Amino acid sequence: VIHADALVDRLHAGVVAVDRDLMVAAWNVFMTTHTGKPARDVVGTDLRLACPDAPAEWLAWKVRTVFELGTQAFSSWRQRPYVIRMPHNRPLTGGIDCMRQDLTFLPVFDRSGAVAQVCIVITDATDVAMAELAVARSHAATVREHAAREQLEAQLRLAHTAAMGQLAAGVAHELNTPMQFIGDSVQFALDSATELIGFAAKLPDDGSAQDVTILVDDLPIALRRAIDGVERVSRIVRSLRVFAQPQNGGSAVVDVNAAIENTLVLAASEYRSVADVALDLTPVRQVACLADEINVVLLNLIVNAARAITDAFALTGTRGVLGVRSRQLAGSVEIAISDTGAGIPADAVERVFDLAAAAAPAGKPTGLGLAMARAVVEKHGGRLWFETGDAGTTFYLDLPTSFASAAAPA
Amino acid sequence: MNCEAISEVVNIGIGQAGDKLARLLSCFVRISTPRLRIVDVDGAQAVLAHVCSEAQVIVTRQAFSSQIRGEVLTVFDTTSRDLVAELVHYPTTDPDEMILEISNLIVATCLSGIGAQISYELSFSPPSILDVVREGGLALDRSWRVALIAELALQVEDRPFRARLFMFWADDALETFQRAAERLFGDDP
Repeated sequence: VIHADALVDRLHAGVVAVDRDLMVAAWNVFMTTHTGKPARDVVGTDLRLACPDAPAEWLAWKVRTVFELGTQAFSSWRQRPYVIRMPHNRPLTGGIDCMRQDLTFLPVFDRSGAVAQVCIVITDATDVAMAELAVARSHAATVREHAAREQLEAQLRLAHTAAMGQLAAGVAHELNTPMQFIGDSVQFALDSATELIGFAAKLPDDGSAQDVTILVDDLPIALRRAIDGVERVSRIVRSLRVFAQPQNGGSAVVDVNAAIENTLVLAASEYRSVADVALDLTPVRQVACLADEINVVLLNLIVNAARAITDAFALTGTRGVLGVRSRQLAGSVEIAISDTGAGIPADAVERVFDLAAAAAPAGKPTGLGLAMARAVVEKHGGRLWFETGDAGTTFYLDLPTSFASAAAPA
Repeated sequence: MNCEAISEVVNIGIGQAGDKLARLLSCFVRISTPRLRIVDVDGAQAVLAHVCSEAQVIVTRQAFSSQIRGEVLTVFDTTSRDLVAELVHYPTTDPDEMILEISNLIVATCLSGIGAQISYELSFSPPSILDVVREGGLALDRSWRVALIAELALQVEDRPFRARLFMFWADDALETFQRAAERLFGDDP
């Protein structure tokens, strides 16, 4: 017959018994091999003296609760990596400083049913701990990779926007000359037609006067309409050239009001059919900034406002108002762009400036999300924020008029 | 199913547990009369999912084994978590370790008290924290048929500390519990 003590000595777990005063009554072989202290040195001494590194007060509380309640107590490596420091069982493969331990404090009852001793069982949780650590590390790596990919995508979007800007500037430049001679030629045609109509009036009537009268009435109207169209195209081309003018990384002095008007011309297709523009531009000082970047921010805010109104229009069928206001503050210019849409939903308010939310829905590229817009504005020492409610959303853009000095520390 | 005998056992068991806890914590502990429900999986989901989805709660779980084996959920609100440190003179700075300690004290004492009435010595698993928020709510095991959920609330005098316990026995364990309780308190001889 094998004695129970011999079995306890075969366990791959530490077994320690203590009395109410934490005097050690039993100490198995696992404890000896892992602490280097033989049972004969430890049994009969205070556990807190035998293991001076262990948390004394904590051990006393645990043992006390088991004595008083007569139930088990526990400790997990997750909250308390170890109680009695022991070497881990990976001298070759390593990867951790010392053994992770789970502890169980068991009541040992005497014949009368009273708690006589507390049996402390220490189990080795190192392998579980390392597995969890590996999972956590791999998760952290995934999160990092995801963040890096998002940043790369944002940079690509920005690069794409810059490339489109250059392309637009090139096209605008190429269109400018032909638009000029089309305009000149149509004007010449109108002047000539007016003269010819004068001559025609002096010719004798041979019965085809009816046809000539129609020509005389309609030709100048058609030509004037052509001139009007040419002027509108020229205006868009001019706006596009100003908007997309290539920058060499340096800041330029920008007339904010002119920039707003240009941007409204370019974005007209986004709002014309659903909203009227309420423009309230007051004279403001010029702002030194990276003009192309600020132009894109304005375009984003105006397009966003237009889309909010478009969504509301789809529901109500009522035209909205796209408000654009500028005013001079003490050290900055404030631009407010408001819409009469349905407002930003409460659950989305927190995420408006999130990079992740910058991904525009398919087919509706905004070029630059609000996250990037805010980054651009903050780079200029300015602020971008919003107020939203049932009656719509207003984005405020505050650009310091002293940017040139503030942003030139290098 | 008639729960009167079980109800009697639970009442006496937790009464004794309350006394023991009060002595350990040196304060007056009040435990509400348990509310017993016989449920199926959907019923249990309805009872527990609601509790666990409340904002600002911490939920721990712990198993107990013997022939009347089962599981307990303990639900604390965050105010109570912050109060534990002054209630339990447990030397730790880790809030999770603190909540697991108080949770084990309450669960083990209440369940041992109940087990003692019907002469079952229970053994417990270590408690752990259920991350109900991150896991998007409580998902229950569905492999059982019928269960008893005994709900009780534990309060401490003069402090807003409050813990709710949901003790759970299913199928065979419930039948064993019922038979043992009826041997003590049943009408039939």
